[in-house]
Amino acid sequence: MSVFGKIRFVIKGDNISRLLKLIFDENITCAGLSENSGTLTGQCSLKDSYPLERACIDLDLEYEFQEDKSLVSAVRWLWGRKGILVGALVGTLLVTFLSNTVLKINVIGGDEKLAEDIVDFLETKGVTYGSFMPQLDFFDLEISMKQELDQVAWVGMYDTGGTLNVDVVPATETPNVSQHRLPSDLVAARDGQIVRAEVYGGQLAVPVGSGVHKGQLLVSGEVKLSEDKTVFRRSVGKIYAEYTDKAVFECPFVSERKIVDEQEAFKQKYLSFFSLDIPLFTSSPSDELYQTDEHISKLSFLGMKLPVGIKTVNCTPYEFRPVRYTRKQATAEVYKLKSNYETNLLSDCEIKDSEEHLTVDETGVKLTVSYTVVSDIALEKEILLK
Amino acid sequence: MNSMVEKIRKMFYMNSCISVLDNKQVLVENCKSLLECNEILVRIVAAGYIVEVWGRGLTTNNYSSGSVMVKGEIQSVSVTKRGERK
Repeated sequence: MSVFGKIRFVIKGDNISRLLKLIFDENITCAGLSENSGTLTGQCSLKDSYPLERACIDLDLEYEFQEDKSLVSAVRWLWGRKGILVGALVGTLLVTFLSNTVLKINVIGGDEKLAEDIVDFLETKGVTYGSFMPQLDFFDLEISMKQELDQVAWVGMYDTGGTLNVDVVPATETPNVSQHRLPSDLVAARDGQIVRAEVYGGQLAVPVGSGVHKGQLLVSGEVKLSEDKTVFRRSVGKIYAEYTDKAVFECPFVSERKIVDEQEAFKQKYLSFFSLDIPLFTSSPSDELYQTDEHISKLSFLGMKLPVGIKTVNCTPYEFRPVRYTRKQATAEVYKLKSNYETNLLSDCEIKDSEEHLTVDETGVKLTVSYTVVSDIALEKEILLK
Repeated sequence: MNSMVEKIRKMFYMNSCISVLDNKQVLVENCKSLLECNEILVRIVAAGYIVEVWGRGLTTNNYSSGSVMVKGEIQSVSVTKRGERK
């Protein structure tokens, strides 16, 4: 197969001699010229076929040109089939792109939890599915991973095609060691009257029944063994004190409330391509507020999850509407708030007594509750030694 | 006068050069035109002469201007002065 193309020609007519002269005069390069019974056969280059054709027309000769396979004819054939060219180009670009893109993060060594932590860590450093592999600084990532992830003892990173391999040696788990070994006191976290004391370490500094102020020493870590011998210990114990706690609960007659419209809920689908989300819908949602819930189902190939999938977003519209309460409803609402407060914030306390004061004005209902509670008020405070 | 013309031709390399390779190929350089080229006879107009190549299965190639290569089974090459042909 020639590069620039070759033509085999058969020319018939009476003016073959004149044609030969023309071939010679116009420097048309021919090969294999042979005349037989008024028929001239031969070969010439594709470039020289044009003046030869013109000469044949001028001399009124019958001619038949047959083009041999060549690189030029192959390119011309391909040019007529642009789809193949575009497909080959797109394929080449796609292969080049995908072989330089993080398609999979493969963590070697460690358990699933560590693998998840490493993937999350890499994401914070901007390394995620679709990242451009040559831009990643593996050395820098390895150092920062070793510094910031305690569960990693050693890490090595390398790439094989579109897979980013993270070779990890997990750190050996250290036994739980108490961090509270320094000598300490127990001080009062708030004002109150001591009703009960359970001291496991240290020396009780206040008698049961006495009142204490916030910050007052309750249990001392400085224990005097004899007149000239003092040791410092960690104070451990529970000092229960009785104190009053005041809480105010309000419910205005008119207030805004979040109303979720479940019936108007709809789904929006996106084509998730690496970190890109391409909408698969045409209508744009209105300016309403939505609470959303996302779910991605990724395509998998031979058990490997690809960074391509369908992302489904469940949108539920909601709005804040003014709600008007009656006095009865508002009262019920404040008692509900009170109940929540006791359940969530006073669950560790023993409520001895509570005094309620309900006031109603034109704006709403206000409930003031004074609790008398008993709870542990001891707060550990380290002793600073020279 | 003729010897003078011959000398000038020789001086400026205007003579035709005919190279014969076995009985397979004849190369005629410094020729002017191709008069005939069939399977048994190729006639070439060279400088002042007409070169006739006789043979079997002859084909002609002109890869460069002013030269002709005849390929095939060469039987004879005759050179006739132009205007003296019988």
